[in-house]
Amino acid sequence: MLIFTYSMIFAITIVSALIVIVSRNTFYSAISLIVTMIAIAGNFLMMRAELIALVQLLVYAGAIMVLFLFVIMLLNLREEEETPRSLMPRKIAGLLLAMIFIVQAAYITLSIFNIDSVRDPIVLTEEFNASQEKRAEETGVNAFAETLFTKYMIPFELTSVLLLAAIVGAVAVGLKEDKRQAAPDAPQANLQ
Amino acid sequence: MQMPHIIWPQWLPFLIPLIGGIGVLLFDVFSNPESSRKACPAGAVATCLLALIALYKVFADVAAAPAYLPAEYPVFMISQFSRDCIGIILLGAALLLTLSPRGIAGKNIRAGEYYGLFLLSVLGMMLMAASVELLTLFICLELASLSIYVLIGIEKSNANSGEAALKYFVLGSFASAFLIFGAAFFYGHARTTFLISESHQLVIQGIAPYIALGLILVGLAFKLALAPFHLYAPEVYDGAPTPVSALLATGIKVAGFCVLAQALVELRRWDALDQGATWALVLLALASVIIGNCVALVQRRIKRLLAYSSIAHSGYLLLGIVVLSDVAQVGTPQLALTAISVYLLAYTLMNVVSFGVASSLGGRFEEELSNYAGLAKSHPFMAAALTVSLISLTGLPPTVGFIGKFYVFAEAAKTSYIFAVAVAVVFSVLSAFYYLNIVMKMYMQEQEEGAPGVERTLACDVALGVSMALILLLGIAPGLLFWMM
Amino acid sequence: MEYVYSGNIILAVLLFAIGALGVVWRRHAIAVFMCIELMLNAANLAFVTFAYSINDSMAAASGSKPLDGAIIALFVMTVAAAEAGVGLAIFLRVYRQRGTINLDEFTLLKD
Repeated sequence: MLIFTYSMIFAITIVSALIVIVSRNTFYSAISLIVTMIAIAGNFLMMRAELIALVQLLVYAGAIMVLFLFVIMLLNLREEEETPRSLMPRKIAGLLLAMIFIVQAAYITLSIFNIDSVRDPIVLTEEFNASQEKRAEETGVNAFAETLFTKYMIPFELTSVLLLAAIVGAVAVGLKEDKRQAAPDAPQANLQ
Repeated sequence: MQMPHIIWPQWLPFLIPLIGGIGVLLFDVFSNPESSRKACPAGAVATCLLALIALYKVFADVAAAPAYLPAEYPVFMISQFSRDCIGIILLGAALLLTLSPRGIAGKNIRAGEYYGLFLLSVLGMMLMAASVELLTLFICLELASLSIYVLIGIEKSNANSGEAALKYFVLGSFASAFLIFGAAFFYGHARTTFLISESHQLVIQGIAPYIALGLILVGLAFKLALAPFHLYAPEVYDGAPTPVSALLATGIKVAGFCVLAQALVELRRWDALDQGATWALVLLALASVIIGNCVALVQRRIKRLLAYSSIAHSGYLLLGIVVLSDVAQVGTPQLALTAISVYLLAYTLMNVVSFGVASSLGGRFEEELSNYAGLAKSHPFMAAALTVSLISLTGLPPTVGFIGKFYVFAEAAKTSYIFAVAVAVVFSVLSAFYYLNIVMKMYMQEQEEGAPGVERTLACDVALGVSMALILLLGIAPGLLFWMM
Repeated sequence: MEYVYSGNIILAVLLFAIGALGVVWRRHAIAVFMCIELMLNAANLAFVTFAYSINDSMAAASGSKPLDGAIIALFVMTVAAAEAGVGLAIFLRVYRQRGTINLDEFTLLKD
């Protein structure tokens, strides 16, 4: 049963990701990307990473993608205009790039992970249950918060600086031109 | 597990730019544009110089044993080499900030945003140079990059600036994705995200870790503008405000090379890198040297020429790092790293002067090369500064550029990569054509009609004078370098 | 449960490949950026999978815990959010000036 669920999630992730890159309409791409992100959250759940699945839904599918949709609406971009110029070399280069990674995926399948281990754990043993409970305790919200604010404190503080830079930057680059700023500079500009 | 115990004085060199950056941003909010246009650059330069002094005071004795910050989870390592790299970044930033008021004058840029983001970006570069853990490296790289994306596009009335920002943003985040994906596979293999740590050694078995390191290298190579990941560089340097192009060419590259050099030396120390991977790096370096120098020959715009020249110099640096990490395997790594830091200092000073002259003259001098004809008559000081930096970029004595190149090539010639070094030397000679062509234009050719005069500012003269003096002084008496470092 | 881990690693590599392909194929800046988000998601998936696939003996040997991967994924999401904020602001600014954000249309800086 689990393997069936997992196969479904796997298929949905791949298909919706493909729609993101194949669709000619940016709006459909964005919707499809939301589906991909929800499917990835499903993947996290399959591994019992509940918290990160939740954050994936709230932050990625909820916040970031809504921002994308807003911008798409704001720019009023419906159909993507396709310029025919130099398309073939790019498509071939892209395929070559993708091939490298697909070969990598095949290599990983064959070597790093043991194929024999692909079995359905529908028959849960006592031992397996115990290890799952231990895992749940190890990765719960309590343990998560504790690690985040002890071991990862410095990266955590760094992200606050990063967010500050991002906020200031987004305002600096996104605001419309300030006419009052322009005035005092004007005489200097003539000198150049 | 306990909260990391923070020893505040140790963090001072990093806290100063942070506080300075936030201070500049806040000052701009609460003051009128005129006074913030005067005070913000002064505050920013003072911040960089203070941080530079604090850096050498706090980490005075890291030569014996590197400092790890914080002790419980050492994501930053300040060795002698990374301290010197951070020092070079700060020195370059201080000079560029001094040149900035003239460089952004008349471009409708709000002072607080520009200087605040400039300082935050410098902070990102400093932390990036110090970081030895992949997650921290990623966050610091993003801090430096995000601020730079904005700085490139900050010139609102200029369409080129926006285009450059868009291109750099799209390609830069593409490269970041490679870096973090590589980090994921590195983690999957090594079960740690530390590149360098006291407690464990890197073990590389099979092909999987090479894929991971390769992906990380792609991400870094993009930021370092190494061929074939350099395609964005000429366009972005050309479109960005000139002081920002200079920051792109110096600061982020120094930080990137610092990470790369330390990681390579560490991998070599454990004998973890095989010959094939080393040759791949040498080929990457040679590609940058060849492409950079050849394409620079046909450039007609000053900033594009400097972009290709910086691609070529990235190639020399990478070659130096690969070859010297080979030397480090047998001898002491410190000597090899010192050679690299001398080259990085030379590289930073030369680029600060050449971009600085373009930004100080402004207007058409940031565009076509032909505008430089007869510059020696109208602006003798600027022409002299540019000449010194171009001679140094070529690698001729008596400049620090010669010392840097000579040191790296002489060490490298002792190893088995003599063929690669020979190629680099040949192309280095070729580079004299396009560098000295500008010098010839300035001194031999007559000025075109109707050249408008530029308003000279004291700040520009001071910054250019100091860098020019350093280039010559360290070129004549390289012993001073070791006294300084 | 092992098939979930091996499957997820393959899924991550495939998603990354699809994202990279999209960046090269698509010409619309927002679409390209969405493909980059896809690549970052692939990295997240790989981090969490590698971390959770660890068993007790491996954890004891390396000192690495399943949580590490999840926390790194959280950081990557934060960075992605910051990047999205700045990136979309840049797109808006360029669109206002040029009326398009199709990457093929940007040829001012081409020599």
